[in-house]
Amino acid sequence: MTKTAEIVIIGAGSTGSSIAYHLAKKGVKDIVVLEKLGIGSGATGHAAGLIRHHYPSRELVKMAKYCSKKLENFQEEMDFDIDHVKNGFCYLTSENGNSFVDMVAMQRSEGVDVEILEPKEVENLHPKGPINTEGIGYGLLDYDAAYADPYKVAVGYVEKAKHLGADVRIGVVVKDIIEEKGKVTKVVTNKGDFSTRLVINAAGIGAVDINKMLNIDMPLKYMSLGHGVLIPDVEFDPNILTINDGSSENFLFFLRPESGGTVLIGMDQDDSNREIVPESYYMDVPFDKFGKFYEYLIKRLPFAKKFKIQTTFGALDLRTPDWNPAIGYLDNGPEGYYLAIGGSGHCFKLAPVMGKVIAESILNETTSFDFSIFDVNRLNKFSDDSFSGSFFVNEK
Amino acid sequence: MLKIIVLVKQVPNTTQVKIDPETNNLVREGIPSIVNPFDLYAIEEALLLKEKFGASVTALTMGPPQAREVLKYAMALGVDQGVLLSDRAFAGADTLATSYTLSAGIKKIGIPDIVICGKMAIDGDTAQVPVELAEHLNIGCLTNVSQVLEIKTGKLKAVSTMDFSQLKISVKLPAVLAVNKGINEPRLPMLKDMARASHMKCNTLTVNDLNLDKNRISIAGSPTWVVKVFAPESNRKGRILEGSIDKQVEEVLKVLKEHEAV
Repeated sequence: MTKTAEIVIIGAGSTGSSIAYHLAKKGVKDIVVLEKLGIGSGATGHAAGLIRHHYPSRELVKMAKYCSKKLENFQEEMDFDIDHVKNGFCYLTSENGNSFVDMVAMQRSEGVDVEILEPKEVENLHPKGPINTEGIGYGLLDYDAAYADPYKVAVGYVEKAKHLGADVRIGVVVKDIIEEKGKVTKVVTNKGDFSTRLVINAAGIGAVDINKMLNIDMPLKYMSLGHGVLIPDVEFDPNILTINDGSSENFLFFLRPESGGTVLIGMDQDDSNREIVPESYYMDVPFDKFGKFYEYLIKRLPFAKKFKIQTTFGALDLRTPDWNPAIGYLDNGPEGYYLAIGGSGHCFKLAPVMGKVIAESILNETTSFDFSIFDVNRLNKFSDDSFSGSFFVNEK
Repeated sequence: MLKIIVLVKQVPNTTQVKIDPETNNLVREGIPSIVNPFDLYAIEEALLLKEKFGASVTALTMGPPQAREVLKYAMALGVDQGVLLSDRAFAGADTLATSYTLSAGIKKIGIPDIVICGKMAIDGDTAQVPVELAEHLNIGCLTNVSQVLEIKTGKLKAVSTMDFSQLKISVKLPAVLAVNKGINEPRLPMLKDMARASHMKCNTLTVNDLNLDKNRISIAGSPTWVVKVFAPESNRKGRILEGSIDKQVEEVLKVLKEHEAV
C-alpha cells in the first residue's frame, strides 16, 4: 500500500531527527522519518559528544556558538535531559601560538571565551596531575565547551517531533527511490511505499547507498575513530576539562569525563590499509596499534597510567574531502532530493543548527545562518583522491 | 615454582552480531574479535594462583596471526609469556583436532603442573576441548571448577559446581582445569599494562615446530562435520507498548501480575 507524505526523511540520527523537529515546529504536516535500525544507532550513538567552538571559519564559529547554547538549554526547551555537562576543552598543538592569534581574535569577536595557553600554563591545567608538554607549542582553552549524550539528543528531537505530528518509523529499510521526469516521486521500503515530493537523505553512513539508488556518486569516504571507556583509579569529576591532543601526527586523542565516574577516550585511526564495512558500526580496535596509542597517551597524561580499560568500541562516520557536511539540493540532481550528509564527525554538535537552517532552506525562508560552506555542490571540485589529513588535526 | 599454561581463544564478539532487518540473517562483517569471555576467568585464576603460590604463567592459543592480540591482552593482565600456534596446516580443525594440536603445543612448551581453560568458547559452545586435551596429554581433568581449595604435595583440591550438585574433588598434578564463569572477578588491564604488553613478543610455533601426526590435525583430523548453521526460531512474541509512561508502566504491571511474576 502506498502512503503519501509531504516530506520523507531517511535516517533518525542527530541530523535527521533535528530536521524532523524543526520542520514539524514550523507547522509542516505529514513528515515521515524512516529509520533502518534505531534512533541514533549509527554515528550519533557512537559519537564522542563533544560540544565546542574553536572552528577556523567565522560561519562555523557562529553556528557552533548557537548550537552550544541550544544544547545547554536543551532540557528546558525540549523537556528532555541530554546529560549536558559544561567542562571546558583544551586543544594541544605542536604549532606556535602566534599562528593562531587571528583565529582566536575572530572567535572572541563572536563571543567565544577562548584563551591561548603557553606550555607552562598547559602543564598545570589538569586537576588530576601535570600534563607533559614535550612537543606542545600551545594550548587553546575553550572555557564554555561541554559534552552531552548524542543519542539522547536524537531521542529528544524525535520525541518532540512525534509530539508535533511527525510519523517516525523504526525498522524501515529504504529499498529504492523512484524518479520520474527528473523529480523524485516515491520511496520504496520493506514496509510499503511512500509517495512524496521531497526526500531528505540524512542517512549518515548509509547515505552512499541511498545516493546510489538515484545513481548519484560523490567524493565521500568512511572514517572510523576508536573509543575506550576507562575506569580511573582516582575520583574523576564530571566537570573536569576535556584534553584533545593534536600535537602528534601519529597519535591523536581526546580524554574527557564520562558518566558514572568513568573516562572516555577517543583515538584517531588511520584506516588507509583497512577495509571498512559500513554495514557494521562496531569496528575493531586493534591492540597492536592501540597499545602504542596508550603508551603515547600516558606519556602525555601520566596521571592516567593506572586507568583501567573497561571496553573499547569504534565509531564510523562519512566524511567529505574538506571535513564539512554536504547540504542542499544537487544542481544536476533530481528535483525534490535534499542531502544532509557527510557529517565528518562534526554533526552531533551542529545538530541544532543543521535542523534549523535545513528546515528554513526547504521552506524557502531566509536562513538564520550563512551555511554556503556546506553547499553540497562544492563537492564537484573534489575528486576521490583529494582526501587528506586526520580528524582531529583538520578539526581545529 | 608452579608452572601454569592458560588456554585462550580469540572469538568474534557475538554480543555485537546484528540481525539483518530484512533477511534475519546474522551480520558478521566487521564484528570485532575479543578474548573468549570464559577464558578471562581462566587467566584470572592463573594469575591468582601465581600471586598466591608463585608461578610462571604461559598463555597459549591457536589461530591466525592476529590471534596474537589475545595473547598480548593476557600479557597486559600479568601473564608472563604468550605462545601462538599458527599455521595454515592447522586450519579447519574441530574440537578433537584442535585439542590434539594444542596438546602438541603444550608438549613442546613442556607439560606444566596445571593447564587452565575456560568452560567453553562462545563461538562454538561445545566445552569439549579441556577434556579432550587431558586425554591427549594422558593427565587428569576437573571440569566446572568453581573454587580452587588447595595445592599440596602434587595434588590440587577444588570445588566443582554442576547444575544440581557440588563436588569437593582432588586431582593428581599435572592436570587440566576447566573453570566456571564466576570463579573469580577477572581484572581489567591498566593503560600502562597495555602499553607495556604492546612491546612484548609472543613465540609463534608452526606445524614443523611440533611433534605431531599430520593426519590428526586440521580438516583431515576432524571427524565433526557442520551440516548447517541457523538461528533458532523464536516463538516468543514481543509487544511494544504505546501511550504515556504511566500507562505503559501500568500495562507492564498488569501483565506481570497476570503471569504471577510479581
